[in-house]
Amino acid sequence: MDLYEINGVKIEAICGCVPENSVDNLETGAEIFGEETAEKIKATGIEKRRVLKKQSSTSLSLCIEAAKKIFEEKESLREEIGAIVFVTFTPERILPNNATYVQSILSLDKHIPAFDINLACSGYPYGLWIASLMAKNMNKKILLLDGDKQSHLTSPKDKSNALIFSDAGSATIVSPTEEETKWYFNFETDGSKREALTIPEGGSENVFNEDSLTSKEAEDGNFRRPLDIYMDGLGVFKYVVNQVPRNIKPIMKKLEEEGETFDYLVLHQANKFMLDYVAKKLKVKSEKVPLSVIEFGNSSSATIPVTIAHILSEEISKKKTKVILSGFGAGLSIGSAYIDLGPCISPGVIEYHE
Amino acid sequence: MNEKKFMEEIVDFMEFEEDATMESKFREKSDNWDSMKAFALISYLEDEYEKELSFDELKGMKTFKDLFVFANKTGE
Repeated sequence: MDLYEINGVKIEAICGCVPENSVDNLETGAEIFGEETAEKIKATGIEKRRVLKKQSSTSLSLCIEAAKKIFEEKESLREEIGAIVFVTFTPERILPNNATYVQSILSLDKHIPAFDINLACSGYPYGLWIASLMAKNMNKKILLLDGDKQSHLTSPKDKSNALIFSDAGSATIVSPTEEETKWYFNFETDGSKREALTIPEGGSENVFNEDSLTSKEAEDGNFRRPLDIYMDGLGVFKYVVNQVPRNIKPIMKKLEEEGETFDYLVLHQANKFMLDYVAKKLKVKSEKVPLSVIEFGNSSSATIPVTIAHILSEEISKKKTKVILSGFGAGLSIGSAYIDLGPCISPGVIEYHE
Repeated sequence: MNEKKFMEEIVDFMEFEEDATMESKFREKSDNWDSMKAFALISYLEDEYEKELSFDELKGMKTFKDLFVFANKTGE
C-alpha cells in the first residue's frame, strides 16, 4: 500500500457553516420509532441535526457563507485565489456545476479553473489532496469548498437514516508554503459495494420519471422515494469497522517511523458508535477524537472540516496542530490523510440564516 | 487465554456492564443490543482471536462462556 506524500502546502484558513435550524431527534423520531426513540438516539449518539428549511437554500449557499466569512477575516485572500474545487454530491444544479458559479458569486478572478468533485462522505481528504497538488503545481492558493444538502433526499419514514443525515458546508484555503510541511494521503475504493449507499433514481441510468417522487415501502420495510438516499446501515458499518482502521494504520505507522505524533484523529461523523468503535480499534483515546455529530448530525463530507472548525477552532488559530483525518462512505470509498494546520484563519462554525 | 483476561478485555472493548460474568447472557449485559453491536462483536472476535463467526453462529450463542469457548477453539 502506497501513501502519497505532499510537501510544502498549508491550510491558510478553514471555516464551517451549518443551517441555523436545529431539529431535535427526540421530537422528530417519535413518528417512526415511537417509544423506542430515546434508545435509537442513544445507539447513534445523534441528538440534534442541522437542516435547511427553504428549497432555495443549497450546498452552494452554505459553502459560500463559509468562504465569505474567511474573506471578511482577510479580504486580500479573494484576489489570490487561483482555483476553485467544490466537493459535493448534491450540486445546486446538474448542469453547470457549483464551482463555476462560485467564481461569479464571490467575484473571483475569471482566469482560473473551477470544477466539482462528486464524492460523498469520503470527500474531504480527496479535496485536500487535489487542492494541495494544484497549489504546488500552480503555486497559487486554492479555494476548497465542501458541502452537501441531504435533507431533501432523506425520507422521514426511513428508519436507517431519518435521524442521521443533515446539511452543512465548509470553506478551506490550501496554500503553497516555504515551511517544511509533510502531508500523507491514503485511499481505498470498492465499487462492488455501490448498492450499500445510493440514490437509485434521477441519474442517467434510471432517469427521473413520474414515480420518482412517490414514497413506497421498500424491501427493507422502510418508506422512501426512489430519489431518496438508501443506506444499508449494517453493510456500511461492516465495511467501515473492517476497512477504515486498515486505511488509517499505514499513516500511523509512517508517523511512528518518522518519530512523529498526532494530536487528533478527526473521523467522518457517521454516528458516535461507529466513531468510538474505529477509535478503539486503533487504540486512540476518545479525548483525541473530536465529535460534532451529537449536535450537528451526519452531513456527509463536510463533517470533517465542520468538526475541525467547531472543536479545534481556537487551538488551530493559535498553534500548529497535527491531525489524522478519515472520511468513508458511498462508493464505497475511503480517504485518509495526515495534515498539520495552524496557526491559521479559523472563525469556527457559523450559522446560515434563511 | 484465561477467562479473567478474556472477560476484562471484552467488557472493556464492547462496553458490556461491569458486573458481567462468564455465566451472564451477553446480550443482556449491553445497553440496547442491536445488529450494529452484534456485528461489532463479530468483528472484535475476528480481530482479536482470528476466528470467523457468522451471524447465524452468533445467534446460537448466549453467554460469555459461549463466546470464550468459541474464541479458544483450535484446529479448525
